[in-house]
Amino acid sequence: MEDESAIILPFRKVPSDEEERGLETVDVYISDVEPAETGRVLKFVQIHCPQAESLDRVKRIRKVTHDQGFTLNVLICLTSSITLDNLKLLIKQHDLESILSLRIHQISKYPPVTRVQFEEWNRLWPINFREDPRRDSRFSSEEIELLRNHMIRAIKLADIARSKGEVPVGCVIVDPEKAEIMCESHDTRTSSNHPLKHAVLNCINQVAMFEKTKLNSINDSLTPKKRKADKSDDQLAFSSDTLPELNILENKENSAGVYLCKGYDIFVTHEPCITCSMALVHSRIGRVFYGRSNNASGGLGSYYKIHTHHALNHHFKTFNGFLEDQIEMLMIDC
Amino acid sequence: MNSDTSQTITRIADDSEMIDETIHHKFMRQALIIAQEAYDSQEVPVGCVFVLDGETIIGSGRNRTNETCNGTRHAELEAVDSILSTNKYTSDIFRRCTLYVTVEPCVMCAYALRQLEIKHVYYGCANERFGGTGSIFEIHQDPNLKLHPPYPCEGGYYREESIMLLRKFFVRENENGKLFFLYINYVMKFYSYCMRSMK
Repeated sequence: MEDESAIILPFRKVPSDEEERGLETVDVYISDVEPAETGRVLKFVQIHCPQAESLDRVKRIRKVTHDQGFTLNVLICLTSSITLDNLKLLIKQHDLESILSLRIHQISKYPPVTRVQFEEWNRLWPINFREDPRRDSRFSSEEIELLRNHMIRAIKLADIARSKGEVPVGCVIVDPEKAEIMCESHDTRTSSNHPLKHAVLNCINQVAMFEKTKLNSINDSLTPKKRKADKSDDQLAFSSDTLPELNILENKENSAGVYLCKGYDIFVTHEPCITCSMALVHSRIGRVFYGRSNNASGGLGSYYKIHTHHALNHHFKTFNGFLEDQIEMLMIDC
Repeated sequence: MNSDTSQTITRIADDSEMIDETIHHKFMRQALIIAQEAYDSQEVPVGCVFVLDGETIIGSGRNRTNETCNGTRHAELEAVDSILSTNKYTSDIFRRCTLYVTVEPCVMCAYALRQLEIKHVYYGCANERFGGTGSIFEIHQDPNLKLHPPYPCEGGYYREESIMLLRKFFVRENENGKLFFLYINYVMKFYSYCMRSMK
């Protein structure tokens, strides 16, 4: 079996802000504690000290090994939730003065999202971390070859656009399960005199038209069957004959939804502008591959990160830099 | 329910002697009438009108996402396409246009309007899920977007009426969903009953 991690990807994942975040710290009170006293101290911390949700993802106790053996440190609470004097008073009330010697320590403010962040931030203070397996994207070399062919097709479409005097942006929408091209298009804003005829919007509209004709044909095939059922006895209308119809109805529900690009991949030569990026969210696209970044108004990494924005209801993976050197740099909305 | 909203819309359409009546209310009422049309055609009730030089309506549009199977066919884009398809105007016309839309433009439409260099936008209620002119992003006035000038955008014109239309639409959708589920349940039960009696 081939080692997938050894393959050098011809594109890069566009990370979310959370994935790119550097270390930011927050102050906490910690104290050395004797192993025999940990139970008592932890009980005190849990019951009497102010709790914070952000501390649920860090470990309460850490072990520091050194030449003479090891020391245990216990995390008490955030410095922002109680003043040092009040905390000392609280400790005095519970007769723990002899056991706890407070000092201030830094831990990471946010939970890590990637393994790299975890490894760095974990050194400050141990964190509970479970890596999300969906975050990791692996590609086999056959898959990369397929993706490359689709991207080459998009570049070809951009060349066609240029030869017609259009803005050279090309785009292909692919169903990755069947590995077949659903629709392809290029920018047409010059010939149509319409500043919003971008390649991506054109392509989405084409997929919609395709779905629409498919839906109409389903409707046509549905209508005669219904008539047949009407003619027969009322009871017969619910016989087993109607079951295939049910399936069709369900299919109709699926395709009639506005989520027309669900699970599809899109290959586009340039980073989509904010309008096109949001159109991809509205169409529930699966993955986006693009070549050149667009610093003027790119919506998937350069300017906004619409594909990972926490307030939006659909997120998708985006990869950039695919065959970048074969694509012309443009400083307009793509 | 349907006739109720029609009546509300007609009532406010006749109600021209409102105390704080402005020119904006007049055009927003037109947008609401178009939103009602969307509601009547089983679409998310959002409507808009483009007004040239603050005087004449040159185009209108409403949501057509269900009819076209296309989640990007929002009222604003529909109206823009209808204006440009008449061949009477070029895309420069939008620099002289004001948009009245019942719901805050989404992120997609907000930047599309900026690309068209729209003069001014007035909307009814905010769009907390997708809004691009204040709710999620502030695309209309983001100073870092250098390609197109920013545009002013104000909300709150017939806000309650716009929300009411949306609310009614979603209540109706839910009811339809329930009915469909009940129908499927009924059919499946009958089918299993038939199969059992055949044995």
